[in-house]
Amino acid sequence: MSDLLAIQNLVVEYPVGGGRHVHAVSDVTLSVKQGETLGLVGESGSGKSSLARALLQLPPPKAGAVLFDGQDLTKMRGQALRAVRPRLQMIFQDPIASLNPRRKVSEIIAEPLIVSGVSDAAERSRRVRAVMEAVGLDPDLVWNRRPHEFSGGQCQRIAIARALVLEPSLIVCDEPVSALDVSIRAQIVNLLEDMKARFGLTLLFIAHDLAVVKSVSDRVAVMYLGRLCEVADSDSLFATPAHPYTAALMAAIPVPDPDVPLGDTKLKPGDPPSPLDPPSGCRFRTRCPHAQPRCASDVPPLRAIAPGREVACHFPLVA
Amino acid sequence: MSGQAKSQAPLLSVRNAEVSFSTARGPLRAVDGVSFDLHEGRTLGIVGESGSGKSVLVRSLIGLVGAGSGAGVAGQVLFEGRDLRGLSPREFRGVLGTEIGIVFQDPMTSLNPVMKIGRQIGEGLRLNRGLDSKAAARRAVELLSEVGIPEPERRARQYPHEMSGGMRQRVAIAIAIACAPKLLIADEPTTALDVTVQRQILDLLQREQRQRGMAMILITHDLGVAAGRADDIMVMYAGRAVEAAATREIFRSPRMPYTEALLRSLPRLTDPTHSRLSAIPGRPPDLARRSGGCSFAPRCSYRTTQCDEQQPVLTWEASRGYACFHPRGVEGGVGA
Amino acid sequence: MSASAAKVAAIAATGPRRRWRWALALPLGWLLLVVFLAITADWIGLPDPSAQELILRRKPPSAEFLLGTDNLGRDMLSRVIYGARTSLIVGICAPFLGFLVGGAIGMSAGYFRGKVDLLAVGFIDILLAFPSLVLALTFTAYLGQSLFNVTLALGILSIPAAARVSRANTLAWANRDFVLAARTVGASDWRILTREILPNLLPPMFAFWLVAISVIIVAEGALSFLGLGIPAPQPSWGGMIADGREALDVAPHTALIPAAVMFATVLSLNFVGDMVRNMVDPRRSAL
Repeated sequence: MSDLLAIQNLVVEYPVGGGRHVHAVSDVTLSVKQGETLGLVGESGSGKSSLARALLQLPPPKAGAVLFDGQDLTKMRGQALRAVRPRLQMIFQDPIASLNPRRKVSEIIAEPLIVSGVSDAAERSRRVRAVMEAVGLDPDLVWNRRPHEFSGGQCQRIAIARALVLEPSLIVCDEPVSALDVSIRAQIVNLLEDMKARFGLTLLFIAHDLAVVKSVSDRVAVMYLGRLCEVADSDSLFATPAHPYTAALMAAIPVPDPDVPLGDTKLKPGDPPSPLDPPSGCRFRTRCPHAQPRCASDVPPLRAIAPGREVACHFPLVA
Repeated sequence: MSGQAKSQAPLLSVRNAEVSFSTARGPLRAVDGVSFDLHEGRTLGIVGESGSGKSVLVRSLIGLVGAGSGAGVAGQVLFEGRDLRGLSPREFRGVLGTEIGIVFQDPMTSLNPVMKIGRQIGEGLRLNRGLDSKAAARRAVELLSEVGIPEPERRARQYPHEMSGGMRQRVAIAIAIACAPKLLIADEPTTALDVTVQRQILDLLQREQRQRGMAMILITHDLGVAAGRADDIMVMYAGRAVEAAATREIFRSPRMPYTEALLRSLPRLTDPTHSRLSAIPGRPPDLARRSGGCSFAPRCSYRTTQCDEQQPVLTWEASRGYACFHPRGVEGGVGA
Repeated sequence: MSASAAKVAAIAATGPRRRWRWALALPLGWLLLVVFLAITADWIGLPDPSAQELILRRKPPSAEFLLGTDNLGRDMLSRVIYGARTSLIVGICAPFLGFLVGGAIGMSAGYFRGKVDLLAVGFIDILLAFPSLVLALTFTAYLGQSLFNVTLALGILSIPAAARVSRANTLAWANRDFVLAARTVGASDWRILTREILPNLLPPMFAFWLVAISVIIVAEGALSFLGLGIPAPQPSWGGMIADGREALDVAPHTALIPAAVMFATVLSLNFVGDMVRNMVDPRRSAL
């Protein structure tokens, strides 16, 4: 399979005043193959959401290239960029904030069609109805209602319909289920899987919940403080994590089973450092139980340790 | 929960707790007849989704939801045999500061942004324990180091915004345990935190609870959090307690179909990639438009006409309770 | 159980919303009355507000003159009603003008940020730095006193406030995910501003506009009081208060009646402004 999306040496920094910068994403290279789901995992401050927004050029990154179907989005401006946008869509964490409270559901879903020049109103409503049905919304019930009349799960369905209506190639899902109730999450995860199969989508699935990521992703990338730690196919990453941070993350997830003992935290005590002033060398070294002097001086490059397996660590847990 | 330590009177005993709010669409019963006992030194996990009433219930017990906030509160709350609902506001404050400690979800809003950390911790000690400011300040530093904050002397002189989220939650815990309470209430204490930090905070809560022999109420939407930390679990749905049992029983043999469905719907790291999740259809009910039957009935795969017409009450079988006409894994129940 | 249910029901029935709603009928009714009379003044058989009857000057309210007469023997009722017309025209149009200009400035500033914002905030600050009444006085003194010029002067004065309200609201809305979503489908800035942000901006702007009307009515009064408002003989509430102060000792009604009418109107506008703000919030009205 070929790469639909290739992110090369991406850098995102935000000024925060006083000449200081948040190093949100530092030199990240990552690709997403046509038709796969790439899971992107990290905690707050890992830069996973900044990465998502930067690859959609909202706003464009400080440096690096974003190749989408061979075209570098960072070099495109104005009309050219707007013409590509419909092929890359996004689903947001807070489904209620991602819908305009003043507009009707049918208008919200039709908006992308209007913007991309579908001028025939009958054609628009046919496509809006079709996509509503695809995501499990009854067009006759929801057509003239406004977002606040719906629950979070329903709003997320509306947001998914809006993202699908232009038949995009890639959808970036930024924590699509973490704001939803526990009993609703599985519905939305299943819906995304169904839509992916039905529309032949490629997904970039960003989340902090490892179990959800594992469930949907073919490959998983782990980020910490703006850098990639590890990229591997989903099953081997969770079976044998190579980066100490991946191992710590897995150890930290609360398992819904009282018979699974709470194991070692695999972390040195202390809080994550600030992305304003990330540690030198390996950014995880301040919390890493395996840290050596070398970790403070050399930035570990992302390197292949097995076919399809890359890790950025001087002393990976898997040789 | 009533199975253990029956010989002793419970530390906290709640009977028929109710909380109602008036809305433009009519009265909304956020908590509907919830009863439970909590014994000394035990941890009770209250698990539910948003709108299940878990937070409102606990906030109403400690007077944070009441007449002042436009809510109607009913039921009996006995703490060490004293009726908390009968206390004057002044007496209540005394109980809250000294005998019941509270940790909230968001330490950024529960801490005073313009008061130094050390002073915030010492406040309760000065007011309730009669310590002078010097002694209170000394004790605050001790508490900071107890909750695992490095350089406690320096940190005591800082303001909340100078700390990370995890640190602030440690400070909130230090404040809650300052006066050595008998009961610690933790309302989604780690929901705003990252998983690696969550682990540390939960470890801290559990350690303090054990060392001090406190009872703890841990409110959470995360079944994983409850599984690892609670002795007993009460599951709430749409304002009612639908199942209550020892933690292991809840996870091994849930009686209530809601609990069962919820456990099944969770993705697990042990499942292979792309295994389909067994989703619960529908969504939680609108509390302002309750039906006469079981609140979970519209989403339940074992539903019968009885479920639509009658509201099941929480019934006790040995040491566990459930509110269901068709309990799972029970003779006479569906699928027994 | 049943006792507590009854208690709960009682709380629901006497909820604060219901009482609040009833109390609002009064200010709303007053405003409707004022607007109705201002519109229909010519057809309800009022005496000419400018007709002087010097013999009948400073008469207290009576059956013949319901609100008495002023210093020149003009009918106070007629003058108060025609004055309402003047005050309302100025009160409604001046902030409307200000909101059109200020709203656009604030929206661009809040949406585009950066240099546009810097420029707009600078402009607003400069406008705010002028003592507002002095600015209006200079303006009318220079351009001449007329209804149009007074409205224009007060309209310019309301630009900074309108710009601030619209800028703050735009800043809040422009960071919402639905604006980002509109960008991901390739919507232009103009479309995002008009279709996504503006509809969310209008309700708070409308509520603020109602409050601004009351401020402008008072400001017009102040201008008239200083002799630089709407020129005589056209009646305005401010002008009437200014005229009436001469005879405050012998005929206090000549100043007090227009003052009371202005007070009631301004208070009502503020009440209704608050109500509108609560009502137009889709989430709150849903509750």
